Amino acid sequence: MTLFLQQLINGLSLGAIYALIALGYTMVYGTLQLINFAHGEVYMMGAFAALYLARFLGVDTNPTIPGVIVVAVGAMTFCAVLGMTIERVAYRPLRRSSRLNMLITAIGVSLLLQNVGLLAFGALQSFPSLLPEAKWQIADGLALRSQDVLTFSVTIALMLGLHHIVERTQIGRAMRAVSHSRDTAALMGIPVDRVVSFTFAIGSVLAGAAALLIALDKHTIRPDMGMTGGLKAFVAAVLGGIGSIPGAVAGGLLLGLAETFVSGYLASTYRDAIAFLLLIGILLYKPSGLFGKSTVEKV
Amino acid sequence: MNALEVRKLEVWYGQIHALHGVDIDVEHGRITTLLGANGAGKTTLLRTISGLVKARSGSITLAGAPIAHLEPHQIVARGISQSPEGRQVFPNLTVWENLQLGAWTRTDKAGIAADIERIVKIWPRLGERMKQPSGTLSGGEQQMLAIGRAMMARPKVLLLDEPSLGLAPVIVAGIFETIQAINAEGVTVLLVEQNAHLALRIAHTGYVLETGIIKQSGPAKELLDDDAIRAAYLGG
Repeated sequence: MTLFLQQLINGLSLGAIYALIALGYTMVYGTLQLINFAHGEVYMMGAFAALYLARFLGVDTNPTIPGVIVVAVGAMTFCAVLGMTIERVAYRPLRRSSRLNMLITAIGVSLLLQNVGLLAFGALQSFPSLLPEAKWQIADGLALRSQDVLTFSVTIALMLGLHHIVERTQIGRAMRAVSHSRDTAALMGIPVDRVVSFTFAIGSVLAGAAALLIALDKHTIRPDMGMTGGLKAFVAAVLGGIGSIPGAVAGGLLLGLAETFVSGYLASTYRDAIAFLLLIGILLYKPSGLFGKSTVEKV
Repeated sequence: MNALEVRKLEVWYGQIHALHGVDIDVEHGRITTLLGANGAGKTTLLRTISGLVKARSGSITLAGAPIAHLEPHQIVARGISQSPEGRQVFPNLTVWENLQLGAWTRTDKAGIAADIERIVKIWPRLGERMKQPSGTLSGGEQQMLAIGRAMMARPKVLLLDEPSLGLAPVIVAGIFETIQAINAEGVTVLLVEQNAHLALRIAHTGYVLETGIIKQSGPAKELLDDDAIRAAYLGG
């Protein structure tokens, strides 16, 4: 029982990270029908932005709560700007060409950023403990770490914020309108390019938050973390039904739980295999994903 | 002055020459109708006026000011809104949300709320369905919503693309009455229709478009009595 609960905590914590990244994939797919393969690299860059910002401000050696908040906001802002720049420079000029062209460009941007990261940051760097860390032993073999609590609370707060923006604000309505039809949205007077840009910004901010959370948890960051993390989050988005926001959250949590339970009960070597087994399974039996949209439309 | 003037408009879709030097005057405060068969280029013309399609050459002016170079959202802000072909309501958004988006270019919250009230007064059924996803509405209700949504921008010129498409005659009659009422309040209307009889009865001026060329134009009453038009569009 304690093993089960421990794996549940670990799985939810990992799943929350996947979910945060998956949201960026799914939101961009919703508006542009593009798998933004560079999204994982935005996440990676977020982690290094946080590291260098912490060093620059001296927060790594002298961590304070306001300092950490500045680092977090700074890293997320950096990601937002990076995401919007990628869209503006690499994708927007291709808006009217085929989706395949955009997809290949996305892979190119991903490789570019990954290698720039490798060149600039080296193979891996350790990430300082910016916050006090605690571990509460609840029972024998069952512990709750402060990092898990942080990950849960930040993820929940961000998702409530996202839900509010998408469901309750005019820009959120515009995002949903653009994802249904860019032309019809434009006929409302909606500046479609700005809405697309905003969508990239939001997705990137969430990736930046995920990067900081994982960095504070694992204390190691690498230029290829966007490759593995991004790929898993992409699987999570497809699991949930790409384009669906609740789907990305459910897919992320499901994938996180599946991975930790497999490594807890079977062997950790199967951990990555399970992600892709789930992907193959869902593509075979429910290609639209768990929350796949079946839109109501009358003609 | 004409509310909207289209001059020598040439539109190409890749290799297809869709509009050949189209000239149209939409008189201020009147209903102008554009008739034609499927594929004549009617929708292309409306999409070009709205900025979704860019003309190769020619001009479009709104109250004398050129607009052909503007982006679609800027054209809405200048005062042209459109109820597109096939209604195109956002199916996953509620009726209220669709209307709110129609008012995107506006910031006067009180005025927006008042305009939604006005639309509910015209079509009480939309009022009852305010919180429903608009994809669950009937075809007629979706058409009402599409027109209401276009009105939320408080346009100077309202473009309507085939509002009668696929709807029962009794519903179409109601919608055409509303179009007249909207026009009576001072909104200039450019109405695209395949149902020539209905359109010419409420319009002041008519144009006939055939394979991208304006074949005929004149006062609606004259077109109604024109033998060639009767034969081609009014069923003899």
